[in-house]
Amino acid sequence: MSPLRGKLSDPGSTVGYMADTLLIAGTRKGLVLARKRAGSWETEPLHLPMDAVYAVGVDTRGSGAPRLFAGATSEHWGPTVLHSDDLGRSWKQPDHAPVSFPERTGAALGRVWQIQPGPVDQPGVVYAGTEPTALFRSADGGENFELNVALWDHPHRPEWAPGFGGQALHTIVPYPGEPERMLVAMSTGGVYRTVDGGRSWNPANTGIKCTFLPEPEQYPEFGQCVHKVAPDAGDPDKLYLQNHNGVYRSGDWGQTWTEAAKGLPAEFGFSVASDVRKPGRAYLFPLTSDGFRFAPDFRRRVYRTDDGGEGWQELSEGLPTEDFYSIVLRDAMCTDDGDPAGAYFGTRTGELYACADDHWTTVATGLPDVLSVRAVVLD
Amino acid sequence: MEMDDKARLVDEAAPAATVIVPGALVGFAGGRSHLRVALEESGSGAPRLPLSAVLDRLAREVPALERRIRDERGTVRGHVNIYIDGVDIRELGGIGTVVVPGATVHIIAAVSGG
Repeated sequence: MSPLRGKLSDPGSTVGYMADTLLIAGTRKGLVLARKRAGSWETEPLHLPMDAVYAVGVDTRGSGAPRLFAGATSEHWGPTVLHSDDLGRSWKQPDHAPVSFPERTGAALGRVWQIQPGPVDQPGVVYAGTEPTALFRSADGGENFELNVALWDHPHRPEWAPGFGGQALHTIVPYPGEPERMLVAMSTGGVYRTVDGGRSWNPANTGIKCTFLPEPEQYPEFGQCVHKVAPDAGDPDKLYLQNHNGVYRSGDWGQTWTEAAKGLPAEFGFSVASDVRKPGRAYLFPLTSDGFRFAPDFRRRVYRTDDGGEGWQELSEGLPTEDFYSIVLRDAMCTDDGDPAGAYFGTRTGELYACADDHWTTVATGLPDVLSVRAVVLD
Repeated sequence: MEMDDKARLVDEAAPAATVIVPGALVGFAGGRSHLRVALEESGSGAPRLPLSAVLDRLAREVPALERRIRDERGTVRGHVNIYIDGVDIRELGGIGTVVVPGATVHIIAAVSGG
């Protein structure tokens, strides 16, 4: 490993391993770890400086410390996936490229946009979503990944097109207890599902509107610009979806989608995160519109549903009240696995916030743009 | 990077080129800033290799380094510059430029990117 990569500048000197919550944030220029101990947050020195960390992940299925993941891209030296088994003290990666397109595809990895551990009953299985749009699967805990051929060869591929952020598969939702089923989302392209372990994929976008298409063609079979999908804690068939203009929910695992924006000040946004413990609970960070990408009234405002998307209520107590001209990106919002679960988000202007007991706390400011966050409660 | 720091790509006496590793990547080359790469005998008997073959050799011997210079298609990354004896390979034969014994292959991060 390079001495610059994945090494704390002074490991262990200020932060012990009895922290009760770990927040891992990928930024445009490095990785930030923050730990909450006795109710107070501390951040560690920057890891992976200069790398854009679009994806972070936490795998809690093992018996030891959770395995942390970072999908990091150097603008000069290319992309890679690193993992840490010591809560971020050190980061490892294979000498060879862990995620690599086979020669016959003629493609090269741009960056990893998503790292998602598989279900509990599939230990060792980890998925990666990439730019260009593709799904990779690891069977060895996230050290070596293989391309899902069926999705790569999908006949719709020529019609998938890049959004402003690039053409990528950014959402992976495994189905608990049924490893043959999985849902993914891409921009653009929309939602696709498999029921045969990834040997075939079908679009699942019925009801999701494409406001960027002319009136008669706004509900195509595929081609939607889905920004993020999150599963409900109580029922894997219930899903929440933040679209490019539009908030939706599904009660039939994406077979059909219905609008679910009651109570929101706006329907545009990038992120949606669900509580992993409490059924019916999910979070959004609305933005005014695709043509005016600011929070309504230029304020930091999170919205939460506690009734499965029937309605949304503002949850902003504790957030700074001065004007806010930034945004929250699609993977920069998450919850932890506590009970009750905490909620977290990061901004493109380098702020990190955590919510516990319906009150937000500022974790850090002055960071590079926050691209991705994940959190885990430590024993 | 798990590699014996004493490992060498070529015997000191063999016809070879020298690859200069940028500081940011030294950690992926076993801590070495200079690598000697053997140049095989060609059909005519003169030891020489195209740059692509030199990089292929790096891929076998120091894959953690090589994958940061080229992507999986074998294309030199967009923000990496390579000079052979001080000349940008874009002004020579690109990745097919012939490397001869004693040549210096200098890998440098472009001013763009980052």
